[in-house]
Amino acid sequence: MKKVLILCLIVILSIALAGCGNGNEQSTNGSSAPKNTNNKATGNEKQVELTLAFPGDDGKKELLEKLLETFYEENPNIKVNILYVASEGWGDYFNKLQTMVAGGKAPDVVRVAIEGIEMFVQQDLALALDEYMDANPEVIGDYSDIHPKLQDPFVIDGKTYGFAWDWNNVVMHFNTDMLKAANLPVPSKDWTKDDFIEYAQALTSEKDGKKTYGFAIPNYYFGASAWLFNNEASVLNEEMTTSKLDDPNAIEVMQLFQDLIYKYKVSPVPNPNTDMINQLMAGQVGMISAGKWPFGSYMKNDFTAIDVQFLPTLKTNKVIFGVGAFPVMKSTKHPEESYKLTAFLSGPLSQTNVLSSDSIPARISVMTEVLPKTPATNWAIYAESADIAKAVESPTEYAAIAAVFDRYMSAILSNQMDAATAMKKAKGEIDAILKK
Amino acid sequence: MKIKRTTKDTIAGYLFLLPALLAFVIFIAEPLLAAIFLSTTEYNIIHPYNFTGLKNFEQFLQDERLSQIYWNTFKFVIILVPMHMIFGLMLALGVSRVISKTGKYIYRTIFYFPVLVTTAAVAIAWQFMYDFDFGVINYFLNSLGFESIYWLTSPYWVYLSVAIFSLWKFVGTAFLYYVIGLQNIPSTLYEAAEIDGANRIQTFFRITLPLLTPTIFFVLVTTLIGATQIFDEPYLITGGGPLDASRTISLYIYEIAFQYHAMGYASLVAISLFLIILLITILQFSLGKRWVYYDQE
Repeated sequence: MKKVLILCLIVILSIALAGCGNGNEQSTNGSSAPKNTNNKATGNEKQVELTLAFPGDDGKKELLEKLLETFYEENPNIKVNILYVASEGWGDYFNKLQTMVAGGKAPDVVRVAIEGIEMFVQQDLALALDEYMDANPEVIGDYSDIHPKLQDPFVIDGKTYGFAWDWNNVVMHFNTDMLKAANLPVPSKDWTKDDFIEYAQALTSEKDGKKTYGFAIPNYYFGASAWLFNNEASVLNEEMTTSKLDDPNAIEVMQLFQDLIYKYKVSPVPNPNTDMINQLMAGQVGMISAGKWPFGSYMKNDFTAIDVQFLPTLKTNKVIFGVGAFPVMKSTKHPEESYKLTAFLSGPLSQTNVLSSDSIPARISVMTEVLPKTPATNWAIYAESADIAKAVESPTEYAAIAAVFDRYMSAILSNQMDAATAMKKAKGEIDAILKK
Repeated sequence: MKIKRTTKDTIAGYLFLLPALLAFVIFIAEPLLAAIFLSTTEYNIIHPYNFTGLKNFEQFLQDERLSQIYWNTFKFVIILVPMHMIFGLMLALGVSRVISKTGKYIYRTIFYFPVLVTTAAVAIAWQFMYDFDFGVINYFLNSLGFESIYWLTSPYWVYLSVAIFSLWKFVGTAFLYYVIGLQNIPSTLYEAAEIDGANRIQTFFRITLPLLTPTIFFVLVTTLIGATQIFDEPYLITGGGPLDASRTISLYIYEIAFQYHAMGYASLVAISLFLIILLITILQFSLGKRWVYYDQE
């Protein structure tokens, strides 16, 4: 009898194991509203449940769920499940979204940055929203309020794939306590490369075994690209068909980064996952180049000794920008409802209530209202830069190209290769990726 | 019809094996066969695969990064395997000499605890420790009069930094196996050796080591497989850098599959790793017959 019971248990376990592939592998956090069964009609409107994918490390969970309560009041037949996707950077996040699509569990609406929109459109994953905009224009509100330069990356081949929600750029952040200790003011917006090196040298010191450095090298694609743009260089050409990293202007920037560490000795050696925001707050470095995103950390840590300025002018002064939106996936079974959600998420209420400190609203009216609250004297450079900014290069193969760039950058910053050799090799690999 | 008892036993035996068999088929055999098939295709997981025949194999032979990455993996194996085996054994021998039961328990917990903590969490702490400019390890080296070491950015020192982290994090596994192996050695043999006047070294080499060979063999096989497949430590500590200095085959497979979206080529590289590990394991088993002593009592 005992044997029979054990055998029955084993058979049940085997059946459960064989069926385990249908289980839900992803952690989901439901919205604050109660869930309804999919497609269950209530009154005249069909009840619909949507899934919204959001990067798990953005720290906006509570704000987002509170915001959605307003969406539910306006759209009682739609419920939203937010899927927080843990990832390390945009490339990793896009890879995970692609895996979800391949696994047949594509979300309806996804948070996507400019770095991924080209890939989503080329892979035929994103839904063009034009017909829904024509049918329901009031949902978008004042479309012209979205800064046209920031909206442009989401209009591809004349079709609209998203509405710009937030954006970021790269400027110089200063630990103003360290500036004061070195008797330095925040530089003016037309400061030069030589001024920058002087500042970095003045902020570098060693006292009683405690080292401080002038500047933390931006060892990531977006941050380094900002410096390339300022030297009239770039990772790719305009058509994004070939790499321009072998251009002397590009090599000059990367060599500068290497020299800042090993020749001028004003920058610490960056580790693969160095957190330069923490280094700035801890007084280990005096300057970092980043966008608005560090302000979230500054406010959490009550760090107020901060100010910003444009990056130093090298051969020119162009500001880089990256922008995010909420495209709708083509595989959605509820395109109209997804359109309403994406329009709501990109609307002024969402931008005002959710974006808080660490990114810049893409709507002009909200930018004008929110940016003056930035706890930095030079907050206006964020508003000024929207008109002159240049989009970060975001080809379809962004993840692979960024990986090549980061790999060769690590070789330069670890002094394993000079900039010219590294950048020529990087160009070779990037061109091979683009050819495929 | 009355089924014979032996047939009933056979059926019962297979039913007991069924869960493990199903797990093997679903999670090992089927993915392996799928990988073999995918290695002949171009597949980016979003769109249907494209049969390309031996194109991936041609790419495999022409891949300039592959030889460096295989060499890196080999270097990790020859550093990590002896470290884990020797340190694990030393710790187990040390703990076996502790007389107090509470003491034994405390030491076992201390040495095994790092295995239980999340690798990603402790890797962050170790990165801070390894930082060239602000890390505590270089701070102590400087106070002793030594130069700072480029723990994470030198193509030579990265192996030691990853190995030290790996040893701290995972030596507990080998240690535990050795503890169990040592407990299985009958104490009567040690008593008899003591009576016969054997010293500690003689006892270790004539009794402990021979009777521990099955455990040593098991630890060697599993540690070698683990070291060849090493992913967590280089991914979390160095990211595979600088450049490709600490990039292992597993990291490269991950990069090809999830950054280049080339599942077909990634499958081929994964199969090459599988074949290498299979050959090494077969070799170990055939050589093991010469030095592993199984007590036949």
